[in-house]
Amino acid sequence: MSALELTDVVVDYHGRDGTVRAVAGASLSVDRGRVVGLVGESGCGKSSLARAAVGLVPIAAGSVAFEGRPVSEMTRRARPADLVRLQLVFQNPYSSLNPRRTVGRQVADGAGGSRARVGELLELVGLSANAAARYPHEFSGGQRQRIAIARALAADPAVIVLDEPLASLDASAQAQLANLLTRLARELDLGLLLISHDLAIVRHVADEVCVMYLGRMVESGPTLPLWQRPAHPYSEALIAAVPHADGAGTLPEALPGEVPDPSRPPSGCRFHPRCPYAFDRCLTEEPPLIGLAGGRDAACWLQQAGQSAEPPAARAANLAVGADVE
Amino acid sequence: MSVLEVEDLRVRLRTPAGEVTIVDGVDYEVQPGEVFGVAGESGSGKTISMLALLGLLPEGAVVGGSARFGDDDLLAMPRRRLRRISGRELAMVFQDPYTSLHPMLSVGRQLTDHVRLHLGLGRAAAEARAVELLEEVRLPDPRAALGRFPHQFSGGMRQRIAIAIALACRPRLLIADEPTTALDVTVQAGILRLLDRLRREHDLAVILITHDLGVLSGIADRVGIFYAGRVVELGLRADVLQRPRHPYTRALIDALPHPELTREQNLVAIPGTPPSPGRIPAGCAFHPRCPYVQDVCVAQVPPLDPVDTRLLACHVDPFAG
Repeated sequence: MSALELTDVVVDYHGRDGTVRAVAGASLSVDRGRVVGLVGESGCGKSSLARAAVGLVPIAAGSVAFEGRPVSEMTRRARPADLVRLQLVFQNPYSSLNPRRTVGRQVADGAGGSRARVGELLELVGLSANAAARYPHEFSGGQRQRIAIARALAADPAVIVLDEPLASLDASAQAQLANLLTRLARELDLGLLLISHDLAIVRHVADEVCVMYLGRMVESGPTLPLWQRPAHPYSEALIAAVPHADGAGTLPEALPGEVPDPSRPPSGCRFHPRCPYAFDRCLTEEPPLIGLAGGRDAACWLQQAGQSAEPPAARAANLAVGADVE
Repeated sequence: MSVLEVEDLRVRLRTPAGEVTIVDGVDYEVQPGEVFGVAGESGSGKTISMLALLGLLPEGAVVGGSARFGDDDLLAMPRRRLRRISGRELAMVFQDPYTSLHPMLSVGRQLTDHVRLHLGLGRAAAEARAVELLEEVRLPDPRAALGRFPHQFSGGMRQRIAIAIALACRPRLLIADEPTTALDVTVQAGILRLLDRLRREHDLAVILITHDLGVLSGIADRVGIFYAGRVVELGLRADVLQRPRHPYTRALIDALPHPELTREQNLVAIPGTPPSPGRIPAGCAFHPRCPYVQDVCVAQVPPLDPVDTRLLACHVDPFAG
């Protein structure tokens, strides 16, 4: 059993213009000591899934379980004690830290008020213990993010869900935080669900990666094999779009089109209108997420259950399908 | 001939803590059709140095130096004339196109107003030009787009619209400040390819400001690295990114995750944080964070001198040869 387990989760938002299905049946699990990266373009549902994971938004179907117990939707009441060990860190620590309270008091909220413990937690995230007496505005963006993490750690969590924790930080601050996250996962046997649009960092930090597109998981698996040989054309496109600072002067590949409106998802495979390899079947039948060799999963008609992941282009050429075939 | 030649640009801003130096003697030039990449951490003065060219600094700012643009000095010309030039011969796009697009006016209205004002076109001609511009930036269904409002577009499409407006009067220079920072990588790649096509097809000079060296790596011809209000290294893209000579440039590159690095290896963060304006260290501003620091670095500001095929401001030059 994984520490955090999301199974066939559906998240709906109800607005004046009807219902939008932000997450349309997605599963993932986070084990202790493991870092799971969740990637995808904006609008793919990754933040909604993260919020569902901690009970910040209600789920319409499926289940979310933390250490074997269902995660209920958060209410105004205090969280049940057993859910306190499931923590969330947001993108902008400036909006989640109270500007008028000292760092120490905010970290102490979760640490039972012990001053020694607060100092310990601050040192654990790479700050000095005397940071406790200061206020959030006295710190840089990266340091504030570490304060937010120290506060989450105060609850002695088993799993932390981090929503874009590295966004809007400079490269050096990102590197520090990425190192911190890997270290915490190992040393504290902590499960981390890392939602990020920065694929290069996810590649470095995550043990496993889940790729989401328009509310569905399209691929997941151990990070390096997935990176070296993406099975889903969408993962392939995401990876090809990451720029490298190698000075070689090659422009990253653009993925034409945009994430479609989730209230009117395309027929068949949701990715087919943007997929260079789409063929007849993709237009009408939605591919299920199938298990491939090496602990990988992909939802693409080009892959075969139980086989190793094949590069979509090669497989499409073999099948003589898709727009790329000459 | 250069489109823009900036010499000894200095900017001081008034803050609650008194007057502080943000840009401290910056020189560079930009050629037609060239993408000049400007990189550095937040607070390095890269954005302020561009806003200074357009006269967009807050009240009380003190600007020195010169910025030759054609026959004019942007820093010396009357405000009214600068306003006429900017938006016409020299244009700027920002990280968040929301700040440059009016939320309550249709895209068509904003584009046609702009070309009617600057080019004196009639209504029909202005509308035809607007459609042409939206086609130029590859906005799908340009004619329908004219009647829609900024919020009805995605972030990537809004950035394309902002670029269309910037291009409306066929500027010679486009300053793009973090134009892809808020976008997904897939969309970012599209915007970079668009900028690359525009500079090739129109001989447009582009200054691309970013904190992401990867972004510059694909598109910039030359790269300038800013630190604490000064340029510390400037040269050809391949020279600067493949064989960095300044310890700061080297550190910026080393901090990035790259495919050869295994998970067991830590990323190499730069110790400390960038100095805040008003508290710039004496001598080389990077010296407190530099592993190669020597006595001279603490005492003297290193000049930006030609070294081989680049400009370098480092007393030690630890990566020479």
